[in-house]
Amino acid sequence: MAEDILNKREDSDLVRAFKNGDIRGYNEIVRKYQQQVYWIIRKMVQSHDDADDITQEVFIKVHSALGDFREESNLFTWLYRIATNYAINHIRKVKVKNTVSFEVVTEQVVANEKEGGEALDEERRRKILGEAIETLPPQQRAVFNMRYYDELPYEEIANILKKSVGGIKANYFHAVKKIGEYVKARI
Amino acid sequence: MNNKLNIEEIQFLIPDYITGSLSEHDKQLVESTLNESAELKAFYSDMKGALDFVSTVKYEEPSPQYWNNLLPRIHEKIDARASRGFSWEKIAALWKVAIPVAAVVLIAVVYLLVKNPSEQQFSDKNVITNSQNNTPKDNTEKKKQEITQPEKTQELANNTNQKSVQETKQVKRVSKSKEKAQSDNNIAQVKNNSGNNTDENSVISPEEINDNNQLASLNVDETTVFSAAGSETNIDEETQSDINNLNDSEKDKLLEELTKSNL
Repeated sequence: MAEDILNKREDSDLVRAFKNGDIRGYNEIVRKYQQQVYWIIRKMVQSHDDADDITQEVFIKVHSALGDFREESNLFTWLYRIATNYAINHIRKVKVKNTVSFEVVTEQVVANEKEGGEALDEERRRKILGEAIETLPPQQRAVFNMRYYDELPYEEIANILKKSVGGIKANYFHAVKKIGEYVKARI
Repeated sequence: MNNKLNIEEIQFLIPDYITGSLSEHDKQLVESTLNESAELKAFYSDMKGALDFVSTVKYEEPSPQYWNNLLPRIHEKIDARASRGFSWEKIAALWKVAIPVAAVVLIAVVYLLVKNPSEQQFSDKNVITNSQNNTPKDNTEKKKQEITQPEKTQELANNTNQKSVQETKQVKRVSKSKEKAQSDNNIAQVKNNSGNNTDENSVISPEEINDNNQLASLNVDETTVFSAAGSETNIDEETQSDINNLNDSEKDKLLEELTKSNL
């Protein structure tokens, strides 16, 4: 609790510095949240290259919008919302393309599995999980990542995505169910 | 029915039950229901397998250098876009102004279009009514008149201006005529009084004085307007030329208007 308050105070100072024309306020925000923002996006889009591009776009957007940030929500929630929206938009644009590419990769991984090796097994599991997440609609994907990986409360997820708590709980349930069905069919 | 609803609600709690994210109350609720429902047990089994699998997968981490290079690369892109002068934010800001302005312009255009046709229709109706009332011969004459209508309109405007000048001059002449008529009347009264003449007819009444004044003004005007010499009329040359250019019917019309205005 005390840490949260301290963190929020620091974020306010950084935002205020930026609004007063000090670019170091923005730079500190990037250094502080770049890894969290990157992983939010990476777990949504699965590809490092795509995650890199989108992360840069998110922080460019932050640079242009930070002057108007009213601090009605905390800074990280605001960043999370921007990152999730950019990732969802990216997924909707390239959904078909990624499905085809993953199918090709899966076939090659299955063919190589017969050669054995623990490293391949790790790679294979990563690919299968990536494919399973790719089958989820963008919002279910976002909810799954926020709840399972980031352990955000349902209320905060609902606030970020502008949805109801009941709807978010249903999204999470169906996301886990679909991942389970996909993984069960591949293993 | 209630049982089924409870099972559906509890299903949504299973993923959090598996990851240990439930409150104590919800945890006990799930455990008691699991023991009673085979369907719920099946859900639990499938979901536990999925989440166990997910927990074993590790994403490949970017190199440590990636984090050091991210901020400079972001600034490079920001500077590049700023120097290019293009940004979606600028376009978005422009739209915020352009849309209201366009709306106002559109409303103004629609208003003018609606207003002007109604006025045009009114004038068209007048033309149609007049043409219906006229004979063909009249139409021919009127067409000739309409052809030169703009010129005549200008002439009449000029004549109106000149008429106002003339009226001013007429007022002066009338006042002079009145003074003359008054002095004549005074002289007549003096003569009557001196001769003790009781004849009523020898006295000029106020009405007769007014009539005399009007006749005097009329005579002066007629003489003034239609004098061939022009020098006695006290009107300028331009007005005189306009008058000379009028045809007979127009002269009659002008005289009639002047007469009405004097009366």
